[in-house]
Amino acid sequence: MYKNSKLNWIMKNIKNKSWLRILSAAMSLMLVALFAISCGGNGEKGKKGGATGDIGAPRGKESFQDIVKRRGLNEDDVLAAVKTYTPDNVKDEAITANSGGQEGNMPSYVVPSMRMVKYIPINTRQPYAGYGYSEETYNLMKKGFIDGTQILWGDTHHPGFSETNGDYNGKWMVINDKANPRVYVVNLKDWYVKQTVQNPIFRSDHGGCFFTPNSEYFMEACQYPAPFDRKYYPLTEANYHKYWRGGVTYWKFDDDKGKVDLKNSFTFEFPPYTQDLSDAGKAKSYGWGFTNSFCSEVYFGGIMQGRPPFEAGCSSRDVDYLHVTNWKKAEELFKAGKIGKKVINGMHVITIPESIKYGLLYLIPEPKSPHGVDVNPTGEYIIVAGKLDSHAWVYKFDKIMKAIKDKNFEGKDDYGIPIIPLEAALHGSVEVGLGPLHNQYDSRDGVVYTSIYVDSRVTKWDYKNLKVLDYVPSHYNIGHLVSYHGDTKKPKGKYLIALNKLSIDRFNPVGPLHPQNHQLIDIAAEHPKLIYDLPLPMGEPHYTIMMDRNYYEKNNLEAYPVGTDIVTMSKSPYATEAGAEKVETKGNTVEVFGTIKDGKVTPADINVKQGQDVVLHLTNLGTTPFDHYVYEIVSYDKMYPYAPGETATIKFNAEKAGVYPIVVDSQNSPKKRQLVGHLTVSFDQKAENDRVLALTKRINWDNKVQAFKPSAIELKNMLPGEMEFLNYGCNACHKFGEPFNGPDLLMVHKRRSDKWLREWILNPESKYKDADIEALRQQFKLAMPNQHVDPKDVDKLIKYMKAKSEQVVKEMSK
Amino acid sequence: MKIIIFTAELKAKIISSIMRKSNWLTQSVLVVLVFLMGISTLAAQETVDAVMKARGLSDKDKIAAVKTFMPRGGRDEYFGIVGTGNSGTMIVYGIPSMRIYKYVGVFTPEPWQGFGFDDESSLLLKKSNPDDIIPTYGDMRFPAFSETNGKYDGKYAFFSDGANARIALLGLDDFETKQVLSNTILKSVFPEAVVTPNTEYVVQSGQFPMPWDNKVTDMAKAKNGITFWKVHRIEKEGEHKGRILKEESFTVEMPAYTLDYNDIGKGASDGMMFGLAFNGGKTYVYALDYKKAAGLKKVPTTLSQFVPLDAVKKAGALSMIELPASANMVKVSPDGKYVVVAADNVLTLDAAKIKSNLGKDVKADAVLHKSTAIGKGVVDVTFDYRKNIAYASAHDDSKIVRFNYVDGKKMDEVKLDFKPSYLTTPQGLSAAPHSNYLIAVDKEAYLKNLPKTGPVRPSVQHLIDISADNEMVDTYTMTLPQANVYGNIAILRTTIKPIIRYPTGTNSRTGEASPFRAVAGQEKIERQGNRVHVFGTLIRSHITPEIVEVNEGDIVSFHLTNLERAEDETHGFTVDTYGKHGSFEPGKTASLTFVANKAGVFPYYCTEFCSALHLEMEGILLVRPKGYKGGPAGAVNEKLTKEQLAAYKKDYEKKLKVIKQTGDVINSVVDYLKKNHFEKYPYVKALVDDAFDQLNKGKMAEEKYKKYAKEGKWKDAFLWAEQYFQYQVKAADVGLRAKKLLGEKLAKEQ
Repeated sequence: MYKNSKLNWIMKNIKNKSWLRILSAAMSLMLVALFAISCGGNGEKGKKGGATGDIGAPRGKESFQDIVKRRGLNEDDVLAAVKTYTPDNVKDEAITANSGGQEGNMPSYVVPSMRMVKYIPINTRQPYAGYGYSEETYNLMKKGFIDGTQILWGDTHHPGFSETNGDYNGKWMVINDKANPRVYVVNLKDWYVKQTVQNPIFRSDHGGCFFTPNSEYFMEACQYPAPFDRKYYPLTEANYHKYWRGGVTYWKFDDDKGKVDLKNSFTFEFPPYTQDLSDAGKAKSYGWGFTNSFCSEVYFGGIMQGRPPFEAGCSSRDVDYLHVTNWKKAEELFKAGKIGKKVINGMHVITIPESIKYGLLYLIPEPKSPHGVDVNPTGEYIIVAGKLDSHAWVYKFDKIMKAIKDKNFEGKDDYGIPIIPLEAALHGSVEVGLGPLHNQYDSRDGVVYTSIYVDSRVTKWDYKNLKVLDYVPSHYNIGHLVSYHGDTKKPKGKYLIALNKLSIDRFNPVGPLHPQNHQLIDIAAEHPKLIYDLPLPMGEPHYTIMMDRNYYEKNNLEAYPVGTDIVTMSKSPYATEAGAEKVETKGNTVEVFGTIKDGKVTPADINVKQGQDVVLHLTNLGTTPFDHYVYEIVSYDKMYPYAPGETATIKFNAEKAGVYPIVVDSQNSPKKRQLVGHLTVSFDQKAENDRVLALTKRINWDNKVQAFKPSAIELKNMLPGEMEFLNYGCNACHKFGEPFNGPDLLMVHKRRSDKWLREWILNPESKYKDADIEALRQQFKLAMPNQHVDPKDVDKLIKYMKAKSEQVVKEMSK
Repeated sequence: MKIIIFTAELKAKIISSIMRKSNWLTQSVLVVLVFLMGISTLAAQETVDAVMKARGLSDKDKIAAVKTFMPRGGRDEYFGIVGTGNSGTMIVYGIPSMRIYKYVGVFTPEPWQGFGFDDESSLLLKKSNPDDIIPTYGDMRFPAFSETNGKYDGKYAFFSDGANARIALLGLDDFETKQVLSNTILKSVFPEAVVTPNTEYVVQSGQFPMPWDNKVTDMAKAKNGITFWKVHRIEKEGEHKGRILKEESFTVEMPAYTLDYNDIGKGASDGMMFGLAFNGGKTYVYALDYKKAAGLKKVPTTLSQFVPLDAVKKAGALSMIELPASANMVKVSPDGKYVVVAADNVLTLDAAKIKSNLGKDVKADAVLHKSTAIGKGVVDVTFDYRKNIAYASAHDDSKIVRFNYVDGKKMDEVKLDFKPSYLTTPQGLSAAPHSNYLIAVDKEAYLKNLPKTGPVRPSVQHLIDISADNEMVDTYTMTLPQANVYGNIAILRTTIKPIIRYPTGTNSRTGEASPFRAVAGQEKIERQGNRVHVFGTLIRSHITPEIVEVNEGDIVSFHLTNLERAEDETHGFTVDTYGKHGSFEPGKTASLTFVANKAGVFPYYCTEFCSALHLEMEGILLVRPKGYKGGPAGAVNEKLTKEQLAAYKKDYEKKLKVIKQTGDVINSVVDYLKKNHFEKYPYVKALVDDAFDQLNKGKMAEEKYKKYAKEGKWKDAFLWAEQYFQYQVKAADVGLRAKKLLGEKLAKEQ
């Protein structure tokens, strides 16, 4: 337990004045305040902003004053309107990259018009960008399939821009997935993912991704501790201490190629505290990294086992620990082969004893349950905000270094890591409000903005002179916040965005699931002003970064060089020139090398036999930004949007027979989808049998896992037994009124007894040798597979066959 | 606007005094109030003119800015919805602010909403597909709203999937996809849905003629058709339980032409359907009497039924009207008297003449009322409130023309900086179109002022102000990411009445009570062989159960119910690296099923930032390896030394003091709320109710800490006291929000 004397020391540092006097003053001011608000009006005037006269009738021409009056705008609203409205001849200034949270991608909007421009697909397939729909992009996703599990989503959390000399260099962006510890590299030439890397020792992560000042590394910290070797250990307090671990990975990054290099990366082993966010030191603190943590109680809950929940045990101490790591020194020792020799699942681990031995890791007490740890632009100060402490704590890097040099430690934690006393490292603390979370820096020296979750506001304060400067309200429950280049050596000031978690009462209601609310705040003037409410329509951004467009735009691509594989960004081996199109059949595979030019596809038709593999390499010969073509094989679930110049491969097994339209949609013209050819799959009995058996297997599996139940209305209108008929997949082979893959079931109950049908459905194998069944097997080239029908459902199926037959006969005799 | 004499300095002074040592809850309450009093002091030091000059805005821009800017908390007049083409999702946005409110997964899986990632929606999508596989995408372009008497009723939206031949019904109570069905007859459908005037049917046309039988690949046997999906409606306020019934749906066989955009008759042409058809270089408008067709004998197929073309022709229910030139769009006028065909010369066909010629194939002249020359590359027409007025987009001429489709007169036109294609007016496709706004899609979508983001660009549409009679003004340029947009529809905001929570334990896809729902205190883990069912609950900030242990190879289902009643208190859930995700809005029950085929330790957690302690909303799934011989989890509670016990006792006593202080602050907030009659304001009342809910939940923790304290179990007493304090914090969090909101409401009243 952390000693009380330390807290008393902090309290002493906060000047004490007569509380009562202030309280009474404030109370009397409250009345005035209420009056003032009534005049100021920040309420909901827009709510009335409907039509005048008859709803929907034309309003006629309105003057500026008419509109302001009709829409109930006040002076601040008009100012905000002209600050954000951006006509087509005026440039938006900056772009943001947000983590999309559980939507598994990265939303992006521009500033100040706050228009959404992009969702960069990261962990989730996205048909609009084609991500996961070509072999090239699906293989990229596959690299993130942990232990072979097909993971088609992610929980993206903290994006980072690559840096040179502590400022954005406009080349790369990285992002982590909290749910499945993976990191992704995005190229800012085309805003597309190029690399997927699994963290092989974590089970979850949170505090990624933070670049070091020259993109030497980026940091990814663990979240929920788990055994590094990914093995099972019974959950006991002893085992939890012994096997569960946290950590921070320093991913080696090649800033020229935009590649993460696992072999030269290393992970600091941390105690099983729950690590959270990180930040890399810069300028003065270059070479160091800072990672905070909560649940340093090393507690696990168990409501059903009689233990209080995680939330109680994980916040019971007064302080948690800031982890201070020396990556520069670690790198030298690692290169020299002195540390990091322990390799777990391919990851080099710097063990806790190694860190202690070489002085690579220290702990400093930090405010209870912290969230953000943010190094200031000069690297001299580090601010930590703890959501269960109303103060933001400012640490001074010099002081930390001095304590380390003087070996001024107050002791060690249970894992032997030296703890620097708080008073030795702290510059001071400021009461910023209830639930402070994250800090972002202004261009003004010493000015920082902290998001205050419970109070729903931003506190502007001076971290050098330790005083509050101003408050900006936000709606509601602000999480992260971002200022313009706010995490670099050169913050630009001007804009701040509050990432609010709740949007109650802010927008048109769209059902129980609300959008998030990002509020743009103008911080150019002395007093920050809220100027725009942006609903974030999908996902839940956790963190946003904002960059000046001039930093990256010069390298932007509007079209790829013809024949580009967009994942490798080099010429695809399958690139095909006009006139060189061809079809090659090797064994069971039909390989097509084709082109798309002005919406025309060569070759246009694909003819295969059912069961063959089709590999379709197409090259979009278009070279202008308007040459986007969506290639679709209708009712075959195959599609890929070809960007100008791109070569990509669509691969599939022609499992279903039939003829299917091939259409091309010229995305940049209003022409509807044009029919360009046909996929013709000629029927093959064996392949059809394989298909039916595979379908049967899927259906059996579904039934084992969970039976589908439609809504009551649908159920009521089904014939009795119809749901079972569909759920057991009988329709894959049987129709009423004609034979299909199996015999016609019309009037089957007249040909077979109920008893026979019951036996046949439950155990078809028992009758395979009967002469009549053998004859049918010859005819249909397929024996009825055992559908593992539940005995209680058999009679329902028989009842359905009777009812359906009667219905069909009745309709036919109309 | 009166300006109070507080200077910013004074305000800062007051705040900083408040910030000095005191109880933190009291401080925050006061600071919020002091801040609120300051809002009006932030009056314009900057002028509008100066900002305009600095940013290069014109007076026209200023007018556009105030027309579209939405003040805080303001409501847009209309909801617009648009399909995202091959993205397979629906976008909901507001007019005139043109801000996007929501993406809804319809044909493509979308993990934020758990769509295609939880069991309920995964099965919904799987069973929509004859191959029992979740299709990976859809192609949806022209949506429809449900109608009553030809007017939008705000209950459902429909989409047709041109990619995998499916139809979808969405409930506008919660903006979720409720039903996706596969068209088992047509392989290729046009990505447009239309409804009949009382939503008896949602109609889906075929697009390219194809053989209907998969074993046949001979194109000479190609056929086409139009599917009439029967909609059965049952609904009351906030419960939209209507569904499409496959069993009563049917397809009308059509000539083997390529079918295209279509519209349903109303008023004078009720019972009719009109659409474009292409064959052999010729363009037709077909007119189908679907009411008549519905009464004809249907040929059953296993999963559906159809009316053969011969029978339709014989009954005189179909006419093919040959057009003089190609056309792009057909729309029925609001009164149903005319069928307006978008072409360079817009043709106004007379519905009465078409009816009298029904059954005969005729040339357009026979049914033509008027022809209006518009310009080059006309893509679309739409109607507004004004009588007999329509708007046509001349793509190649970069202009939109306003004209009278009855007398053929052009009124005015607007020259644009882009090439307009698809057009939308609010309620424009209903029997009662509104006016003032026109949305025009710009397919080229190349905006020079936007920061570039590689070859994949957002779609673009413009808001055009048509409120004046002789002027149309391009007002706002909206970008739509991850969307390949075509036709929009828009509805008056107040027509849609969304819910904010579900009755506890609802399967949102069926709208019915889930058999897997769990109530607080009755969470359980059931095992049958290798099948493990976890019936759990979610609430700020814990998941019950927090520890689940299974064997490798077990099939595990987490059936979770969100117990929250508070608006916007959504929880998410995932088990690390198992690939499933669910979104649990207040009241919802959903299930995640997977095979625990990897042994080890797997944290699970809430994926929503649901409270200050959302990171602590976690748990652990332990998967024992196959053949593991050790027993189950050992005793988790260790023995404490005397010293440890004493330390916990001290902690406990300290915590009690904090609880007392916090309680006092909460009481003062409650006093304020009561004194000012919070119950009169629904939003505030909902927040206060939630705050009390949180405190009530704390009672269980209170009983426990008192009990353990009595028994001298100081560690347990301390932890449960901490848990009680957490409930206090949550109550205070919501209470402060309520107080802030109440302050705003009171201020507004004065």
